[in-house]
Amino acid sequence: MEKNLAVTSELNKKYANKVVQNVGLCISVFDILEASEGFIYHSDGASYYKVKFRIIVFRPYIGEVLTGKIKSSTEKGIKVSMGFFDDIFIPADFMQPGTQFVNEDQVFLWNVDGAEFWMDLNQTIRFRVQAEAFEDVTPRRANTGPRRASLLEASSTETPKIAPYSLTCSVNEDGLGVTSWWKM
Amino acid sequence: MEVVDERAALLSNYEVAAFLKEQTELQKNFGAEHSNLGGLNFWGENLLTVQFETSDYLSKTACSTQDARQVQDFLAIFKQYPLTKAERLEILNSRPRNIVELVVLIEECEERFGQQDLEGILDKIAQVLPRDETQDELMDDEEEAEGPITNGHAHLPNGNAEEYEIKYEDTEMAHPDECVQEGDELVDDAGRDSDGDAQDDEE
Repeated sequence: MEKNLAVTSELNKKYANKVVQNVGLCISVFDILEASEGFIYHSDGASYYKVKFRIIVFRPYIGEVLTGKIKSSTEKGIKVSMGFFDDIFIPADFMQPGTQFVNEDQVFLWNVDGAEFWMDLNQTIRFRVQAEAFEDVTPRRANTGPRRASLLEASSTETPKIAPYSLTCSVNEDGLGVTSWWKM
Repeated sequence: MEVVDERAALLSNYEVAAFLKEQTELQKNFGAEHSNLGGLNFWGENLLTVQFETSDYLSKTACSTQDARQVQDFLAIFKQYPLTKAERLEILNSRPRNIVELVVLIEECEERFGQQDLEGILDKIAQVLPRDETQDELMDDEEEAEGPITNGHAHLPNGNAEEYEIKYEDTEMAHPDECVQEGDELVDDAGRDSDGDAQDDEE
């Protein structure tokens, strides 16, 4: 089998659909720039290559305008999904002035000049990236001895899941928000 | 692992979509030929998942009707405007349909461009990146009525010359040159071509 194909496959197993700290969400290896000769190590049948490659990464820059779908909303803000990436949050403070959360329907409503604009679930929404955050979620090394028990205790009460890469976005400009609002 | 350059180049949505399409084909063929290696599983679940989700997302954006020729024409024409690389990229990706959608992509837009400039830009966009806008609206309406689109079927077919024909007569806009009709056979050289130019985008 061709070497590059095998290397690409291994790299994709390692990186595809994973977040690399301060790089972004990896999608797929783009190409292999260089690969060394294979090394076979003592007591291991596999061959090892040193590889330089390029990979397609999802990493919008701050200020970029993207579209996604409203996945859920609470009074704190809206969660948006792009299908392959879900950790997008629009806080209530970053919405148009005059936006309020309607408790009965659990959605946001933008009142402007007497008109009502609803931000219902599953609607396509356009937003601007305001901030990004990387969180190292690699498991910490388990300690042995007495401290171990307390660590375990702590981890069980911890918040369920921290996103390794998340975006905070805004919709407080003309042209942003549910896309159908701005059709002319 | 060492990261040499965390942003070596920017790729446009179109380039990513074209690359993923090419890869999917390659993986299918490979899987068929090498069933002893586990077929598609050889590539790993993570890759197949993210590949599918990304292609699915991109198929519902403006890049679904773009081809390599259109992207090249776009870049050539938009060099003459005083726009930054990032702005050109965003215009290409989101393909604004009206002034509000355009203004939001350009930084300090009011100071840099007048109303007429913006209308000129919109006309150029409609010309180089033709897209059936009635279809777009249908798509949006469907979304509102039915909630999530279950399948990628809502978007339009690639480069259907007749449809564009109708649209341009209706709206009295300039007719696009040959670019639409020639579209289809260009997919193959897409990724490489515009990649070297390094004008491009995001994922």
